[in-house]
Amino acid sequence: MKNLSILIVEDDAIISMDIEQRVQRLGHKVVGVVDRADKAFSTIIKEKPDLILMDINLKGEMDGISIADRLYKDMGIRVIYITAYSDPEMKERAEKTDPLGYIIKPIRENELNRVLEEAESRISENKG
Amino acid sequence: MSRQIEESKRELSRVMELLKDEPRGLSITDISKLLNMNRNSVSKYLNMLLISGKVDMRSIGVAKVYFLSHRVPISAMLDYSSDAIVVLDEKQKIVQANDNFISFTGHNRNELIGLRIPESTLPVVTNPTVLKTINDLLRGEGEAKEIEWEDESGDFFYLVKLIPTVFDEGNPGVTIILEDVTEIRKALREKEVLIDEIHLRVRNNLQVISSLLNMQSQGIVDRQSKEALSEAQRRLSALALVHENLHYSSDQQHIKADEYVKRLAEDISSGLENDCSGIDVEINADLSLGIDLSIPFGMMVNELLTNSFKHAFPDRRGGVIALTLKKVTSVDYVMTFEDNGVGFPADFDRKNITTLGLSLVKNIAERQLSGSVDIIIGNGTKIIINFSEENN
Repeated sequence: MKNLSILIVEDDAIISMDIEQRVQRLGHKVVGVVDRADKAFSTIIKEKPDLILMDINLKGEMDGISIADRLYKDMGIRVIYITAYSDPEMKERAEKTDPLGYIIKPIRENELNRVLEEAESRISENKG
Repeated sequence: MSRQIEESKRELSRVMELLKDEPRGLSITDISKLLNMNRNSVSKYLNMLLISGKVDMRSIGVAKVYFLSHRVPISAMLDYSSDAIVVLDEKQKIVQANDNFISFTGHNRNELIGLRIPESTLPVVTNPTVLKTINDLLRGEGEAKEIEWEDESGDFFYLVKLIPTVFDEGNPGVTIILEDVTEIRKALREKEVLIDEIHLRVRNNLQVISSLLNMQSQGIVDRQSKEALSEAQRRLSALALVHENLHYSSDQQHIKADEYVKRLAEDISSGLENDCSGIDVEINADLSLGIDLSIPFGMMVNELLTNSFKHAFPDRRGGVIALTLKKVTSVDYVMTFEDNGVGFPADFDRKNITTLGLSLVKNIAERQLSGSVDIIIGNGTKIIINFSEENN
């Protein structure tokens, strides 16, 4: 797998540290770790990451799906959701943003790896 | 003859006068003494008053005590009720409505009395299901029925009770009671949201612990210490997987044993350092487990699977792990866990289990699930666990 540049949107500091380390161990570059929508947008514009790992349940006015929705509609960017759960309503909302995958908490290294690999091949397909 | 009737009337009113002054009631003997009337006459008059409904009788021990009836007019009763009540005649016209029904409709009493329900624009009672039930009941079809009604915005909830009614002259009618259940429904909805929130927090907290263990293990070079932390993480994951499966189940109270074991086996085998690709897992556990049993069951299976994946098939040799779960009574289960690997070491002592994994299995079965663990030493590994959900 080639190295991807990844933005992590997660509002729990401990979990975000863990994701950052795991992603780095898998050989990817973390371009930012943010906990809120406004920071996410500014980092995305500045860093143009290949991939965004997006927690769904975020504090603040916009949850992960709302952020992903704007990214998808305005910039055509798709995310990988990280979530502790999803009810059918939430899943339906999330599906509309055409995500590259879902990771259910607690995160398992092999699952993270698999979802990232799949996402990477889908991104390169689109580019090719 | 007329003199006799006059006398009866007079005696009847004497008995009633006396009872009026004695709200705690009087026996035939009391009345006989106080009125200086013979017992047979007292008994006769009391029977007449009982039949006409003017007097009630209650047995207190062996004594029979008579009272004046405390009759409340039905309309007053209806107004006492906190529900909205309306009574329809056989033409579906309103013949009676209590104050709550009147204020519920926003009309005044004169507008309502005589109004035919099907032609009205009244709320709730003109709902098609309610109208159909009214028709059925008036035709003598079906029994009293409860219908749940919700307004389009989901802001108001009523429980509509329809009761077949017979008027004094014998004509059929229907009594409709509207119970406002908005508060309780909203409270239930809030409870569901709260439960979802708690599920979310449980799983998020498990993730925080898992993250801490994961980060902690990164700096550790010592193999044994690193492995200990991995074990702890695996146990946590097995626990989290129960919560995940509970959350995705239809009632949030049960997990499907076979689906759980399959996912758990995949997670364990892919997370271990040794290559498990040649190991097949056969699961025969088409059972649903309740919330109390799911966690201990998950913990036991996690230990057994981890043990087999890690130790039973060294040098990348393939093999089969088989787990069968059966329910033998309404509360008793038998789980058989087998693999065709290298089996327990020669010096393994069934009586003195020293590994944490097997010790967890044994104690969960014995201490928590009133069960037993049978380790059969032979080719490969065979462990039979009996357990029960009784007292859980």
